[in-house]
Amino acid sequence: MIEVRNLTKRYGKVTAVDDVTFTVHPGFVTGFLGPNGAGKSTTMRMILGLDKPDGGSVLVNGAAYRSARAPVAEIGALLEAKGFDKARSARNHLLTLATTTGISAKRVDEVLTLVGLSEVARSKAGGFSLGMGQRLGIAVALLGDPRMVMLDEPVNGLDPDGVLWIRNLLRQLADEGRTVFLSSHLMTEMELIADQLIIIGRGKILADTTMREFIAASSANRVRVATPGAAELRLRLESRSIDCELLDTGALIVSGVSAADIGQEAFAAGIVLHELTPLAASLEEAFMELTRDSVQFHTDGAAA
Amino acid sequence: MSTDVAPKVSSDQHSLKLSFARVLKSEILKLRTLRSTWIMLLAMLALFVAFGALAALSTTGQISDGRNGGPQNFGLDPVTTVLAGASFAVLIMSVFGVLSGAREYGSGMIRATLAFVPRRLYVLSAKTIALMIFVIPVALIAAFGAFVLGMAVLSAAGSETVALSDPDAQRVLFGTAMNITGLSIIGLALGMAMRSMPGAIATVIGGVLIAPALLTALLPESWRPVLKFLPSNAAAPFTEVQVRADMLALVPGIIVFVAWVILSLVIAGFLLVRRDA
Repeated sequence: MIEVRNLTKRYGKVTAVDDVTFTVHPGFVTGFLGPNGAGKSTTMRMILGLDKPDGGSVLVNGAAYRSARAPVAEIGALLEAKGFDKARSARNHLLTLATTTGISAKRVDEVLTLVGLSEVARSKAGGFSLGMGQRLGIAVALLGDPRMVMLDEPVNGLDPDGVLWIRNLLRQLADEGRTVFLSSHLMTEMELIADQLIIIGRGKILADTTMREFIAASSANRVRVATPGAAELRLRLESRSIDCELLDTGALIVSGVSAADIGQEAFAAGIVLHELTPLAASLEEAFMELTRDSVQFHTDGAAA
Repeated sequence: MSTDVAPKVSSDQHSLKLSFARVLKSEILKLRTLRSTWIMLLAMLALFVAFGALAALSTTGQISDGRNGGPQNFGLDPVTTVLAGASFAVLIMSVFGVLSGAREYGSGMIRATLAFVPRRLYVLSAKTIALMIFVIPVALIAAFGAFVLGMAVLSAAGSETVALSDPDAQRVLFGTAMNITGLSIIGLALGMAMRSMPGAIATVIGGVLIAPALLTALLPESWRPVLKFLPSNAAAPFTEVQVRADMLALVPGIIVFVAWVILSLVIAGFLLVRRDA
């Protein structure tokens, strides 16, 4: 479990992370979603103690990360895809890090197999593609067999096969009862991986919810109705305080009630319906709506 | 590429523990697994010995006859002659120190290192000791190698030689190895503090190696009491055969030199602990 409390980080006048509070629970895949520059990476670096907060605190399983007996057995992290020395082999890169905590060479080889790099384990990592670098970073994160895995933009640079692989891997880690925390700026990716969703924009938490609730809230039961009796149906619905919008095409967009309710209402009034379609709002749209201010902020060029 | 999923928790989980000894092992492994480590150590060894032999040959007139304008004995004593390559060794090893300090900042690996080892002073101390483990033996071998080979060349030509048992020779040989090691550590500290190889290399060469000599040459005599405390001047009493009156005595020289090394490490440590990684 990762508990982030009132975490704040300033770079000069820019507040990159602004009084952020959330908890990441074991057994779930928690997505940390936000536009570029929203403060995701900064928050993750503060969780590991790489960056010092200007305020607030982080508890990793109830204690500070740095005080753990074997920190990498608490959180295994992937922070950057190219964080290795080009002149060293993948295996030696992992061995140097593993040695600090007494992780065996056997585990190093195990992790190399797991991420699919065993065949290139002894060649220089400088020749790796972005995707292979990403796999090496994930190998680093898994080395300590950690109770929590924290990955910053893990699918970056992975091919479709790799994306599928990491989805299955994260699901399995969560099913084993581990805490899985990953960031992305892509809602479409989160939709497929995450159970829990924390949305950050401009350094502030905009939403902290389950994926299911977010989907439900975003779709908001909107239904498109095509009918010759649009005006009459609209009157009847609005008299029940139901929100209706008449489009130029003559179709009605009804919010807040189910398609079944609308059909029932039309039937009772003898109105003929040509179309009755529940609209699944795109989550990407919902996410962009939610983070519009922070994206605006970002394109002004002021974000860190 | 394989798309297997994770095996269940491995059995060695319980034995995992971060310790300084392990961090030191890791830093030794880091140096061992870079080819540049071996290249630089070999280059230092080769240049130190080769230039000593070359200087000896040239002194004895075996390369160029004095009458043809070649150097005749340089007016130098035998020990100084055979240690002609020492300045190369100092240069290469201070760059080696910078590399071991700044390299991880160039690649971004430092963040992985500090995530594995949140006790940052462990990292700095382990890097320092690992560097010493590599530099000290090679510096000693190079200095004594240059001495033995150079004296053999001089002796073969019937020139004046100095025995290994000579106290001045021993002082200068061990002192030279200490100078090389100390400057490599200052390089490491600068690399960690500046996080940039070009910047730290420029600083260690320009600021620590060249500037003191240049200032000593340019500034009036009245500055000497101050300038003798600069790192390369402080090293003079244990790297030069002639004991110079305007420099520190041996023991104060060692103390001041070591103090510079420690100061550089303290600054690097302070910055490492305070700054974001």
